[in-house]
Parts: sequence; structure tokens; C-alpha cells
Amino acid sequence: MENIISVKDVTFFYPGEETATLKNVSLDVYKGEWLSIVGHNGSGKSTLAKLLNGLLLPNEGTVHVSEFVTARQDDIWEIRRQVGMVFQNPDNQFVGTSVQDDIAFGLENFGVPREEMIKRINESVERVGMQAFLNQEPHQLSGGQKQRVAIAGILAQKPSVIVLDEATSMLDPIGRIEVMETVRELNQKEGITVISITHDLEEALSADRVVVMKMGEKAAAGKPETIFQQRELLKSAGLDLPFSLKLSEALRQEGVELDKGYLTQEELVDALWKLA
Amino acid sequence: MLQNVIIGQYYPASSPLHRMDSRSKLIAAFFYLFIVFLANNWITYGLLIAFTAVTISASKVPLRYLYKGLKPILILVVFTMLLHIFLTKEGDVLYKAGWFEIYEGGIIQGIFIAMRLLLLVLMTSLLTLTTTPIDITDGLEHLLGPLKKWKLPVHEFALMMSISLRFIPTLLQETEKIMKAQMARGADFTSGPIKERAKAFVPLLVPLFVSSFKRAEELALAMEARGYRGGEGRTRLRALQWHSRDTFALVLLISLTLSLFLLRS
Repeated sequence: MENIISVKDVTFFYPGEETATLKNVSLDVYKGEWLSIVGHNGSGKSTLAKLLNGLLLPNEGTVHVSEFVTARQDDIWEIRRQVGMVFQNPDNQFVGTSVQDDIAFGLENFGVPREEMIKRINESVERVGMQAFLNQEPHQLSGGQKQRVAIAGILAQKPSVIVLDEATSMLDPIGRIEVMETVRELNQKEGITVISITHDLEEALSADRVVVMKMGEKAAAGKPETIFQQRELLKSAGLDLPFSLKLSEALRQEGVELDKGYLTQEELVDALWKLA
Repeated sequence: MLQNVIIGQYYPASSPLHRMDSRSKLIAAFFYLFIVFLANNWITYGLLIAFTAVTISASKVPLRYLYKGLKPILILVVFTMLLHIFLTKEGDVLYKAGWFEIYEGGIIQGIFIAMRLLLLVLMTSLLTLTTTPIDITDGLEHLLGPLKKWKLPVHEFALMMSISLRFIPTLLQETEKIMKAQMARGADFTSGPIKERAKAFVPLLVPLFVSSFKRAEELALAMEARGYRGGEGRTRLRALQWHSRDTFALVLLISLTLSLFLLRS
């Protein structure tokens, strides 16, 4: 599979800190996939996210985005256009005074002509289902709607990758579903690569691939089914197992004959009603 | 309650004055500040009053809104008027009681000065009543654009203004939230002596400051992630459009100036 981002042997120190936040991390992101990076607070997952679009530069190693390198000053703007980032706090990334002003912000930065801007704004609000809110001000929107505006702002820049840096952790359940559905559609229908940074394993369940970060190192990578069977690994990385997995485990301890831990509620229910 | 705060004193309506370009309104208001001082007799003041009255009626702003804007300076107007009445010693004596004298010139001077102040405040509040703060910011950025040559950070200033405008409702919401949280723990913001009340605001302001700094840092990061690199090479969505009515307004103002020059004594 074709790589869109490759992180090679990256080590990163925050200035003035003794221990490295990231130690010798290598990671390939494939074109069109949904990759979840999971880890506990302080595992280095958010730092890793900020290295992907050159907000931080590695002390050692390189980060490539297709043929561009984040360490090269001439490449950085093209990288930021291609790798859009949705941050945790919906309010603190809303720059414009209204929805359309905010979507325009990125386009203005890249010097897109006004006519083209209007076209792209209309197109991208529609893709996130916010067309009715073009002139609304940020304080009139819910958290989930603000995050969708942030996604629209990225879409307008015609990106190839969207990085969600804990983008749903401050939202209520409805907002979370709204945002995840929007991103899933973009991933499946338009082939936009999604990298979702999260500590919520439920969210990582639907990923194509999961990377587990632990103490600044890449502890494991693979399909969710295989990763989630490695209970010891997840526990040592400080992660909370998904509910259906925990439940299957508890049932097995009670003597219910399940042959493995089930990842999703549906699988578990299916297995349960087939029991003799 | 904070959902509908209107920032500044903008009065939403659709009038010729509202539809004018913010640049022409800014230029006109600024220009007006100077020509008010040209008037020095009844005819010229009459002309200015007529012009201002026409502008007010064209703005469709209800008079009570204008009055609200005038209220804080009314005391100042009355005070300067009285000062002129008592201290100007010109023309015939109209009233005399011991050392206390009022001259005809004093009365006239008092009325003129009061008029001047009122007209100035009326026109400048018309600007803010008919133009949204963000439009004023855009207009200022355009008008001050040439100053960039002298390294004046015009773009940065305008961006700063628009970000502050955008965050006012957010910070108000946050203030309300913190206030409720502190009240739930027994803080009292509304009663007691002033000193105590001022003290009660400390636990409100500290968290507000801390979170504002955090917000600023995160916002800066988000802006950078979206390719912000200063005003150089930026295009803009908000376009200001100069119409014939803007030219017309300025021509009107210039003819007013000329008439003032001709008619003043």
C-alpha cells in the first residue's frame, strides 16, 4: 500500500525537559486508511500528531508527507494544507466571527482568490451538513457543530489527511456521533486518510489499524481485532478496555462459555444468544 | 441571556446608511469631526443641524437609541454650556446681581459649544449604530493599509480586533459559568460593602485570566496549523464594495464644507 505519511526514527524533546517525549518512533500511514493512535495521557500521542504537520519538528529522524519533509521550510505550508488538524477544544480553534468567515480563514492564508473561496466554502459546508448555519456566530453553535465547521475549514483546503487530535473528547455523546459520522463518510466516500488520536478505545474499534503509544514509544500496531486481544499490553499502556470486551471477560470468569473476547456489542450479543 | 448579546451598539436595520461602505462612513465621520469646528454663526450651525438631521433620518435608527448614546455626555454638555454662559464677557449685559453678570455673548457661545458637542457625538454614534464592529475593523484595515509601508502592523491590529470581537461572547459565557460555580460554593457577588464585593471578584477573574491565556495559546496553534503566516499574500473573503451612494455621500459632505466656508463669519 502507498504511504501518505512516513515517520522515521523520530525522537522529540520538549525544550528544557530531560526525558524524550517520543523515543525512536517509526510509523507509516497508508493512503485512504483510518488509523487510530491510542495511548494514555503523556504517552506522546498528541506530540506525535503535532509532528505530522510540522507544528513541532523532530530532534532526530524525519517526517515525510508524500514527497514533502516537515523539516524543510519550503515544504511546510504545502504540508499544512494537505494535513488538516482538528483540535480538542471546539472554541479555541474557531478563528472567524461567523461560520463562513472561519472556513475562509484557511483559504485566506493560502491566498485562494475570492470567487474560488466562495465556491469551496459552499461545497465544504454541504459535505459536513452545516449549510444552514453559514452566517451563524460560534457562540450559537454546539460543540459538535463547531467541530464540523473545523472539518469544513480543512475540507475547503482540499486535504489528503485529516488528523483528529482528541477532537471528540470535549463533546457530548450526540456531538461525538455527529463528528465521527461526518469523518467516516469522508473517509469511505472520498478516500481521505484519517488519523484519529484518542484515549477512547471504543472510538478506535472502527479503525482500520491501531497504533498503541506507551511512554513515548510505539508499543504495538495492527488491526483492532488483534490489538484488542492483547489485554496485558493495553492495561500496561493505561488504557481502558472497550465495554463489550470487558463484559465478555467478566462473563467468562463467571463460567459462561464464550470462545473469545468480543469487540463490539453486536458480536457479543450474537454469541450470547447462540449459547445453548 | 448571553445568547443574544449584541456587541457594541449596532442597531440592525436596512437603511441607506447601513448599506454604505464602512470606509466611506469612517472617512465621513472623521471629516465631520473637523468641519464641525468651522461653524461660528447661526446659519452655519443651522446648516450642520440640518445635515445631521437628514443623516439621522436616513439611518432609520430610532431616536431613543440615539438618546441612549447621548445620555452619558449630557452632563458634560450642560456643564460646558453653563461655564461659557458664566465666563464669557461679550456683548450686552442681560442680567446683573452684584458681582454676577450674564452677557448676551455668553449665552450665544454656550449654545454654540453645546451644539458642537452634541453634533459630534451624534454623528460618531451614528457610525457605530449603523456599522457592525467587524465591518468597522475591515474598513479601518483598508484605510490604514498604506501605513504598512512604514512598518505599522495594520493587518495584525485588525486581526487582533476581530479575534477579540469573536471571543467576547465566549468569554461572557465562561464568566457566567465560573460565577455560577463560585456561587454554588457560597461566593456572594451581589451584596455586602463595596470592598467585600470587589474581593469576591478575585476568584472570578483569576480562572478567567488563566483560561484566556490557555485559549490564546491553543488558538495560535490552530491558526498555524491552518497555514497562517501573517498578512503577506493573504486574500480575503470579506469584500468591501464602494457604491455610487458612497461617492455621493462624500460629495455631499464636501459641498457642506464649502458652504460652511462661504457662510461662516
